[in-house]
Amino acid sequence: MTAGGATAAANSRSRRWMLLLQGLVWTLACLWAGEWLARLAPLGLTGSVTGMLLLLLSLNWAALREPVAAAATLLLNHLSLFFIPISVGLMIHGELLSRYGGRLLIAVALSTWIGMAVTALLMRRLMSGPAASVLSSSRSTTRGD
Amino acid sequence: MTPLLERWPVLASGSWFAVPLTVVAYLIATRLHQRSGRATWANAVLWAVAAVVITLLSIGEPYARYFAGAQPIHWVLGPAVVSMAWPLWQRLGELRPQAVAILVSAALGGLAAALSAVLIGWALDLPPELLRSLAPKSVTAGAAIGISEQLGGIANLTTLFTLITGLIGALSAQRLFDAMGISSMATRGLAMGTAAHGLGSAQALQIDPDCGAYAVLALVLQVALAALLLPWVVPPVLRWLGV
Repeated sequence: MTAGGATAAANSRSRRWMLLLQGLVWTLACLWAGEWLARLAPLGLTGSVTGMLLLLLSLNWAALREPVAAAATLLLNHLSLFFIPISVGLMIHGELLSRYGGRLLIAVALSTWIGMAVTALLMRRLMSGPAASVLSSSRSTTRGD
Repeated sequence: MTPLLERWPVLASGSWFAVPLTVVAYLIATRLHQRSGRATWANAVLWAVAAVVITLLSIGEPYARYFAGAQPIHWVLGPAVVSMAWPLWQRLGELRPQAVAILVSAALGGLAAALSAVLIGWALDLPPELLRSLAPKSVTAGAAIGISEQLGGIANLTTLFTLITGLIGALSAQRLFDAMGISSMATRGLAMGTAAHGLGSAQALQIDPDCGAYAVLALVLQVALAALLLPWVVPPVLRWLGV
């Protein structure tokens, strides 16, 4: 009993690792294909965004969903770690920031409020009919999860 | 050791401690953020970046060497942006009935945030490279970097602006929506994700699950919309402003 349980646990653990590995490989494949496409057809899309759209299309293939979910959960849970190195770069712009810091803060704050207000007002205006009540009262259904 | 360094030559010129320093700063800052009850002021990126900057400045390590050494972490941003397709795909079904309303609101709201930042910055006499770095600030940092570089901005300033944008959005959104009389949680979430990306979404998730779900949807939509629209819209506006 216990031995069987341990084997089952080990099996499910190695299955999770396999899924994760497959998902990461597929995500990387989409990234590389996206970078290649972005260079080939300069539509103004970055390689990683093109890769995201490719991955989105590929999710129509059901077999990919579980591995991609495993990889995405890992990557997105630690998203903030990955942009620490580039954010540290603000240290070389100390002079710029001390000179323009106040004005930058005004521009950033006002434009954030304008962006939120415009989105919310448009959404309230455009959502209409019975679908609007479905949307505003919908509790979120999660597909394939 | 040697084969890795031959394949990744930039690592050889980087600080050996860049990766451990970044990871330790991230882990401590994340722990503090959890201890604080996920308070907005305790944002993990903000404090991790501050800790790394202070460390580098106090030991006199130049940023270029740190950044070269931190390449293995920086590089993962690419696959992380790609993997945002998953949360987007999960919500596509809900999106469909209101697809036009959502797309138009997210596209115009995102443009309003980007263009008002450029215009206000221009009115305040900010130099051109700062205006270019400001434009993609409502997009989540991983994608904003790419857009900023396309526009001729300074990528690491853009990440700082996106960080401040997210903090301001997260801290002030509920008061703004209350004042505007916006009650639908889906609408609030969509607006927070559009204008204040990941930090707005994280805050939205704590307010209400619907609000959070729509914020994540808007965050991912904005990655695609901004990448498509900003490189077409921002340069003509800058030219028109004479920048």
